[in-house]
Amino acid sequence: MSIPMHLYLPIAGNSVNVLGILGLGGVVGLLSGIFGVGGGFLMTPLLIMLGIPPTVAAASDSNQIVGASTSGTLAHFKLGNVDIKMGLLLLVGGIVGGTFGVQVIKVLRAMGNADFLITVTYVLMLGFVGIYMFIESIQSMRKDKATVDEVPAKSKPSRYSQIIQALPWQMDFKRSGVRLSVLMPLVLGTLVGILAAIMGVGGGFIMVPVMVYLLRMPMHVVVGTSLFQILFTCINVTIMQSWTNHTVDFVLALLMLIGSVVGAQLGTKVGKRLGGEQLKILLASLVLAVMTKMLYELLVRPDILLAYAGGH
Amino acid sequence: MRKTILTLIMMLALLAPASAMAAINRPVTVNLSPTAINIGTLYDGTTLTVTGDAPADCEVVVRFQGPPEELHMKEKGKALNLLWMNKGSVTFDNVPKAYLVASSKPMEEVVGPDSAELGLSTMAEHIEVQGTDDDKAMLIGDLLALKGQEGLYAEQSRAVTYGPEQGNRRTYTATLNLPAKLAPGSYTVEAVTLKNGYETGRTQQQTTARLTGGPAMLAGLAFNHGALYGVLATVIALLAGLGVGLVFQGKGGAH
Repeated sequence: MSIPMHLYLPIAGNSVNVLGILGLGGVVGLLSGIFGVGGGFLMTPLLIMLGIPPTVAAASDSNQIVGASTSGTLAHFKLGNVDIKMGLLLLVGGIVGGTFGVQVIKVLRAMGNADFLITVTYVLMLGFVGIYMFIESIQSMRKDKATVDEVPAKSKPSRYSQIIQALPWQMDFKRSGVRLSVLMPLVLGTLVGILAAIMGVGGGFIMVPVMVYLLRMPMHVVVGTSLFQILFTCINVTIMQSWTNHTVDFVLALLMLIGSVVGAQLGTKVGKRLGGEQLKILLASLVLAVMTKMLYELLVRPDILLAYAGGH
Repeated sequence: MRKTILTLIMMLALLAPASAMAAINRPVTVNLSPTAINIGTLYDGTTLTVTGDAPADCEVVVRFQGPPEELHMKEKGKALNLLWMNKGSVTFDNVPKAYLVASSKPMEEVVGPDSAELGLSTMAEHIEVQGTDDDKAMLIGDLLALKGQEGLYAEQSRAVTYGPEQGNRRTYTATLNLPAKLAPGSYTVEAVTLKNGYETGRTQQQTTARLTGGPAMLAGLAFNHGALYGVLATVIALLAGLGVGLVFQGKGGAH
């Protein structure tokens, strides 16, 4: 064949199959466009399997997500699915929380057994969020098929909604159709930022359920706004990693990007055809699948007990 | 006169076996093809061919070795007797970057006091383990397995072939499969001749693996101008995302 199948990646220090990386990018982009998650949870371990060092896999993936989420954000923006005000507030909280989280993890590591605590918390949280979303979506799909697209409106105000309505500095978020205290996205953004920094993941998986259940935003706006926020987080990570650790492989990122931007565009269109509840059920299944995979890896003895330092 | 002739005859008699001995004892020669390993855009591992001639009654073993380095790794263990996860870090010292051994038949068959020294298992005995109380033999075994998966450590039997015998000498050809994972740096190629498992001669040559073309440019930018590289990578990703977004919007029409 005259078309080269392999490319050498100087930062990763290995060569990769071009079609394999393009395909991988396409699948991850599709998920990202549909659900508004970065896809790092899926991409990074697959890249490690293909022989890319863990640090390079994670950093290059962030670079790729910049492109994919730009494409996804743009598509969602045109559909009116991006709540910029909400996104910016969450972002500010996320940056504060991320910085704080990095310090927290240093303290935890110094105390020892931090990895155990983090992994178990992560698996439990994925399991809890996944099961909750799954059951909740099925129930609301059964209850009122007429308002499938809406977040289920409670008939009488719960204690939670009483509390959030009592908070100061209430503000209208027109795109999301909610009225909330400015404190809500700021504080929740900070919490997600802390968790994301501790667990070494982008946070889309935690942010999306938070927006749906705690900020009560409609699912479609959640996806667009989440992508908008991920875009800025990943720009920050790409530049910081390139600067301090030299772990961003641009060729690898570009290959994944070509696959993922196409996937993200398709994903946005697929997401638009699905109802909010269907989206939630699919995302819940995905979250549960990731949790099952992590649990399996924790329970079964690995073939090789050594790993190169630098992974999550 | 007669004395002179006698002396000449004696000298010739002495010289004849000596020159035959020289033919046998002349050390094994080493030629590399390619002479240097260029890691370019399309590099996906390569084949290094080592040729030369050696005494006909000797086995030739070719060894490709990288400089020893210190390696920091994470070790997985069972937490609470239930879950496998990274528990501690281990430091290995004296770990060659690469270790490939080529022989005409499996190393166990060439085996002898000196040929055993060339094998992977003897090399592994020189690796030191620090920072753990766990079973060192098991950890080194895992390290060899990991490096083996990456193609950096291997015993390639049947990778040496011999040409026809010519005046007590014969040519040899060793084919070494260098993996894509080979790091840039300098490497040593050695040809060792063995008779009944005892070493009779050894010749070594240096070779270099270096980045060329696109990879060299990118690595230079990434390692010497990290911040600029990061900004460029981000801007290009942003533009690519925007570009594809616009293309799709054009095709899809207004919604």
